[in-house]
Amino acid sequence: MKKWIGLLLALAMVFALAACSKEPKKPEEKQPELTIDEMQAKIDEQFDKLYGVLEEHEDLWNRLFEQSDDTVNETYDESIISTYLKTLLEKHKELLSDEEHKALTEDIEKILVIEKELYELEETYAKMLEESGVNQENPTPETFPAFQGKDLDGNEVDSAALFAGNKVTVVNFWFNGCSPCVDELDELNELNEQLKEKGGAVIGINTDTLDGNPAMIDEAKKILEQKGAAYQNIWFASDSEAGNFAGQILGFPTTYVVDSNGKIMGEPLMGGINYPGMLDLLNVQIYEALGENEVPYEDTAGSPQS
Amino acid sequence: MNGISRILARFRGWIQAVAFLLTNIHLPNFFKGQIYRGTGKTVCVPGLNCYSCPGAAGACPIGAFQAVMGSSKFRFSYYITGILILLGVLLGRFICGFLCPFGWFQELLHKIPTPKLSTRRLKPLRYLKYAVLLVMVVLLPALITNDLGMGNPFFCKYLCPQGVLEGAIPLALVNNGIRAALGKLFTWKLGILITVAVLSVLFYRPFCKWLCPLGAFYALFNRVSLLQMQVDKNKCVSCGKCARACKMDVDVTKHPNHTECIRCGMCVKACPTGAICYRYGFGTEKETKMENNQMTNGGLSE
Repeated sequence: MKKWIGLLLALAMVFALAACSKEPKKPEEKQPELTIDEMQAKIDEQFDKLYGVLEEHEDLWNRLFEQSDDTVNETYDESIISTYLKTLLEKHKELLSDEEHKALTEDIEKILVIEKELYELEETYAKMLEESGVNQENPTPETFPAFQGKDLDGNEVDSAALFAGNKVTVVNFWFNGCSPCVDELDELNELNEQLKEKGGAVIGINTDTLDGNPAMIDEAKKILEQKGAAYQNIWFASDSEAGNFAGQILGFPTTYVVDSNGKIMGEPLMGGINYPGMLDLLNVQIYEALGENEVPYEDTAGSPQS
Repeated sequence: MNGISRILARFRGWIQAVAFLLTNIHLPNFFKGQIYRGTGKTVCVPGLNCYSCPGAAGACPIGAFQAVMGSSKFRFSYYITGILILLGVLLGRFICGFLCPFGWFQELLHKIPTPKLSTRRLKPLRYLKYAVLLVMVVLLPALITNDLGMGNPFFCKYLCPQGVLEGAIPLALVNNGIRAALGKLFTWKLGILITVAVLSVLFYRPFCKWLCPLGAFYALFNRVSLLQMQVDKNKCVSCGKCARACKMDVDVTKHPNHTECIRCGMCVKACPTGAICYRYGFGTEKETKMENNQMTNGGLSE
């Protein structure tokens, strides 16, 4: 049985690797709208089916697996498992009677059907992961989640219009009790003034004010006023897509740079821009969004540090 | 009573493991690189366990205390202090010995077979932890503030090795945003963590003895805690095995409720006559002693 586990692990790894690599896409097949979890469940179901077929003649397969040197053909395609099994079967024909050989050949046919379906599911799954941005290798999605919200004065804000109206939008996440966040508010205001000339803006999102909590909005306004920050601060519903996005942030302040198409310009900056070198890092993304060669804003906080 | 005490002492390692798991129950978060943020985080766990540990079920009492002390809205953290006093009265430093994940971590390291060093001569260092509690946890967060009256959690920010072990390292491993944000502070605290880890191999629980502000707080409650050590003077043969077995450098026969006693029960296990046990509940030591005397005398006269 150890062999089984070894083989299945090897295959699972091949699948996982294949899901990450960019395989030539097959003609688009319309899958019904499924969530990622449902997709995962469907894939598991197919795997279970596959194990079911193998289990039917477990003893015979085990006899073959004992001879196997565990090498799986490296090119991943829709018949990798059945090809592997077929090779193994032909190589060690002498271990089986004709009847047994026939039974296993039939099993391989069944497996081929299952794994073709599995292959398609994996392809779609990989695509879904890429689109949703929950791929663990890179948790930053490509576009900023769309939202309908309000600024702290109660004016409606629509994310599409907001981003489209600016050449670059610097989105800063903060909350009232976060002292490094509050400390950088005046610098962010200065950045906003500089960006205005370039057609950009700084936007604050205070996670305490999500869902329009009036007490928190009052407090946030007071803090902004005391720090002399006049740029727009907005909130949206915490159970929205953007709300979930905000809820995943691990450290505050976190700052995203978004271009006019709503695209996020790389990894977010974690930590205040008032720290030495941080503004330089932010500027790289800002002028990438602006499509300019020139650094739009001088870092006055100090020289970059290693 | 001695039977139960011996069982507790014998299975302490397992109790510590279970306590660690319960304190960090959200295990899948370790792989997701996320932090649990549900209602569990509105209360704090008894031991020193970082809020930012992906698995953490509750907040860290020391972290939460500083967060409130440093906030511009509040002057003092009554809620956390209340919880800590309650825990102190209910269990005292039993929490250090049985429930604290960082204590367990140090003990596991101490199991590495190397020559061990005694901390008997380093007793003055014990008082350092009270300074850490007073200065880094209470005073600095409350007094060093920005123009809006907001302070920093100085202990978490500059000293706590548990934050690096449970928070920074696991999060940085799976989250590249965090990884990118690691800087000088991380290097400094990683240095502290490594130092504590190395010292833990050589000494028994160096962090608990010398630095831990939470241990310092609970230490103050050992004397009034409902859980105490009790030495039956009639059974005691003054062999001194308990004092030699104690890795916290306490002589339980002289000071059964010493501030350094973490109720680990090594003396209970070492006592050849079964004279030492845990006692839980109200009542003063004197009364119990007298009861014991009467009982033993009664037994003898029969």
